[in-house]
Amino acid sequence: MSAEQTSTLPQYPEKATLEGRNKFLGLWFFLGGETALFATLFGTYLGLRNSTAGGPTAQELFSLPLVFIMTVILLVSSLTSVLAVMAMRRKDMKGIIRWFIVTVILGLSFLGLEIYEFYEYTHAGLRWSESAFASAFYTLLGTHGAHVAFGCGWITALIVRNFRRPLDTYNAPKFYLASLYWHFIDVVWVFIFSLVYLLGVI
Amino acid sequence: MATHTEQVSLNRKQRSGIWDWITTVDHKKVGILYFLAGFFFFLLAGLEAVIIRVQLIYPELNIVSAQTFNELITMHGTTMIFLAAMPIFLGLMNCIVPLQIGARDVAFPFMNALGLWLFIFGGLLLNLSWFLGGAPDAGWTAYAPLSTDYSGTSGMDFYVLGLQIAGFGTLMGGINFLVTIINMRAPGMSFMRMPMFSWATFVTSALILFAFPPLTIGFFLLMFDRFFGSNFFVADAGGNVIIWEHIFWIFGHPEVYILILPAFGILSEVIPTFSRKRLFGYSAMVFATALIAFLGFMVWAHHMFTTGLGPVANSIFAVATMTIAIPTGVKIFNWLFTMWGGQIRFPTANLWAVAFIPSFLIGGMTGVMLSVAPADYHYHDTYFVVAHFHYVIVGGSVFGIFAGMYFWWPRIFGKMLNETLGKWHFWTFFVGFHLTFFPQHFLGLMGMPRRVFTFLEGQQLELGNFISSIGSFLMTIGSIILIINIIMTQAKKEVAEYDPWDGRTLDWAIPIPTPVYNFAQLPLVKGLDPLWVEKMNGNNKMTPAEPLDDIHMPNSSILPFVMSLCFFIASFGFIYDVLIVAILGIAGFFFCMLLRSLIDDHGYYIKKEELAPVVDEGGKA
Amino acid sequence: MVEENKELINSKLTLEEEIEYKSEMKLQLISFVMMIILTIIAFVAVASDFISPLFKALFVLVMAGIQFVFQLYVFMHLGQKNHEFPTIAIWTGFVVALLCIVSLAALIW
Repeated sequence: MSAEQTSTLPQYPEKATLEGRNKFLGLWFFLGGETALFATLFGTYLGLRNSTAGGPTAQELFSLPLVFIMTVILLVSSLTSVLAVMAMRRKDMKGIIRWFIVTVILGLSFLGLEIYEFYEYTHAGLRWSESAFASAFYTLLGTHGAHVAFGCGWITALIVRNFRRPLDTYNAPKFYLASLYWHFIDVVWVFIFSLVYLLGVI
Repeated sequence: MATHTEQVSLNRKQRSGIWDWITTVDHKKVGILYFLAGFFFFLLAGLEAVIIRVQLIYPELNIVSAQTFNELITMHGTTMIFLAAMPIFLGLMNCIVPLQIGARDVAFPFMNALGLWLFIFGGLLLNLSWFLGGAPDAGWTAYAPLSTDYSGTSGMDFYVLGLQIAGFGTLMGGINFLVTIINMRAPGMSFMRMPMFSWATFVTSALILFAFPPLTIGFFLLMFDRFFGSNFFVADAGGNVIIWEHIFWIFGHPEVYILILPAFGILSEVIPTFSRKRLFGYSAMVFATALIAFLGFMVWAHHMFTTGLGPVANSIFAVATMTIAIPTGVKIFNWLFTMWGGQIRFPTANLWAVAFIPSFLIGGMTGVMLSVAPADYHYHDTYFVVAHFHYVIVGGSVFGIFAGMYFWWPRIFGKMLNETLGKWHFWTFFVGFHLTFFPQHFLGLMGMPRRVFTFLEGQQLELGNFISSIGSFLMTIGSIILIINIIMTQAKKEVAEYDPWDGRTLDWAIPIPTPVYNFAQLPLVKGLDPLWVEKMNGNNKMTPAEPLDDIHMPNSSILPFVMSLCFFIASFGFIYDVLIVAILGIAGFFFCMLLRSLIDDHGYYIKKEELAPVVDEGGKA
Repeated sequence: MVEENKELINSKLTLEEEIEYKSEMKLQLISFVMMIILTIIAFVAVASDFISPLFKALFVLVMAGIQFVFQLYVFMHLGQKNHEFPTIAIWTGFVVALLCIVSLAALIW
């Protein structure tokens, strides 16, 4: 049966059904809304970035090497989810699962580093309620971190569910959507490391 | 879907009663629930308004205390906007739009139901505040620090969480409609053949999509400040309250277009139907709708003229605001030209639609007055503003809702509302509305500030306030007549006939009551006003675009209800500082999401033998 | 048709698909390398002492903008066909985002 299903699978299985196309479009609109959501956080952060109220400032705290490592980790995870989608082009379910497992591992290590970073900053005196700058910083980074965590959970659920199943038009959109979402998280991180960290230390 | 046919149950699970309603994913039932819940909140907020007007009927009354008055105005505004007007529109959209575009369902039936229950539980949470230590009292705009440091009750906690939950629901509804309209139009239904109400839904949904996320963040910031000691709006720690004003109005101004565009859409359906003419300037109407939405995002700071943005920003936002009058004027003229030379009938639906035009026009003109920044320093925070936005929201949105209600009642509920009672409802409410709000213009110009719980004698404010209160009683009578009408209509057995208004669009090409699958065969759309096109060609029904076949339907699910309940419970955890409850509630929500992800749901098929035979209903051409 | 099916059962692609796959893969890998390079350049520019702060800020923003476009149009396939509405969604979101950021960051006091 699995061979038969693979044989009838179109080149773009994620967009073969109306349900798949609906999900595809729905996720893109959701990402459009997320853009406005993150922009509000960015705006709030940029508005409050100098409101340190005597607490530690961005320049005193930010450590670029750590941020660079985090950036590279997230960028590589973006590539691995691309490779998963490329495996989908080959109807290679094993490849999809394999690359998404790597993506989740990278996502989790990113989260680990972020938690470590927050821990360090808190001990350096930047507590959450220290200043408006602290609140805005943790909220922006925390919202992004929550998105990463949600993405890890999402992809893990997909992997567990489809571990021993063939690729078909029902689960292909799910994988494709997860990869789109993951790229979007990376896009947000690009602006975080640029607008928060790099502009913060200039 | 072929690969999964074997896993799909072919038998429809029969459910009945209340279980059917709380698990439904049928857009028609979801729409009815939206409508009923919205109507309940409409009556509730109306009651609050009457108490406000009773308090203000004579100077220096003390029927309610100043604190209660603050709670009343806050809850009146919040409930009317978030829990009454928007859900009623969402209800009409749910019931009508899939039919108008020739779809069997919406794109995301499950998410649609989730949006509904989130709205209902959010609304319940907000209104429970009355019994749990006092309602929100910082005005519907919740300006910080009034809403953080100086709030007298725990009501603002309910405000933040209740509206947050309801807002998630609205956002889901918006995405659902965008995708439905893009992906699921019937064969031949191009964008430029789409009925105006569907267009309005499309544009409104786009506004929801981009306006609600900033509000979500705004509520989070306010919530963090109130619950977790963050400093976004705490000036001592470097916080900035103007950020709240910006966030609120970046959402808030598109919100007023979310409230009025669907009413525009309803008018563009009702007026052509009862003029027996196609809508004048259809493409201009589409363009005007899109332009209003675009400009609606560029003008939020006109709510902040007196905050002190400075002359340059004030001028830019003033000019941008004035330009909105242009596309709106296009619409007004097009409705008038549609009526011109038509065979006009005046059932109640059309009375509301025609009454909309001058009423809304007055609201629009005071809007242009308010957009003049230097003059706004005089009008700001007076009853002039109150009169302005009630003319727009009652004379616009509510009149539009009533027009749509009388028009689509047979479509949604299968019965005709009583016309005699309808006309009583119209005249009492219409006269009452103008009596209530017209004098408020002058009260405002004479200097009466809004949101005051009483006024002094001998300042020439007595007459205006007295007339205004009498008008509100007349509106109450009108609303009571409407309720009687609804009860009487639903109590009678007589079902509405097919195509009762001699309709023009696809939503009238379906038997009454609407079958669960909407269209046994998807119709082939041959032009704007597709049913009218067929009627002009001597056909009584639509030309089918496909052979009769099995129809795929989504399974109903209890998960949307449970997920919303989880958020509802979590909110109490936050408000009463029992963190474990909050965590359990949110965990429960994500667990339900996980279930939804792990359990395959392929829906079921209605076999073609089960479909109601397509009979010739004998439409009048 | 029969031949095609036989090939598909072996989960192989047709020649056309194979070529498309290869070029797509190349594009993805190249853009990944480009993004890594852009990131390094941005970090190095900020870390260096020879550039004026204003220029650094502008430079970082431009780098971020290029990466944004790469992610959207290469990794997320925004440029491919049937992406008209996603394009509208994202760029409208971007415009709203600019409004939010500019007003919240600059129109406060």
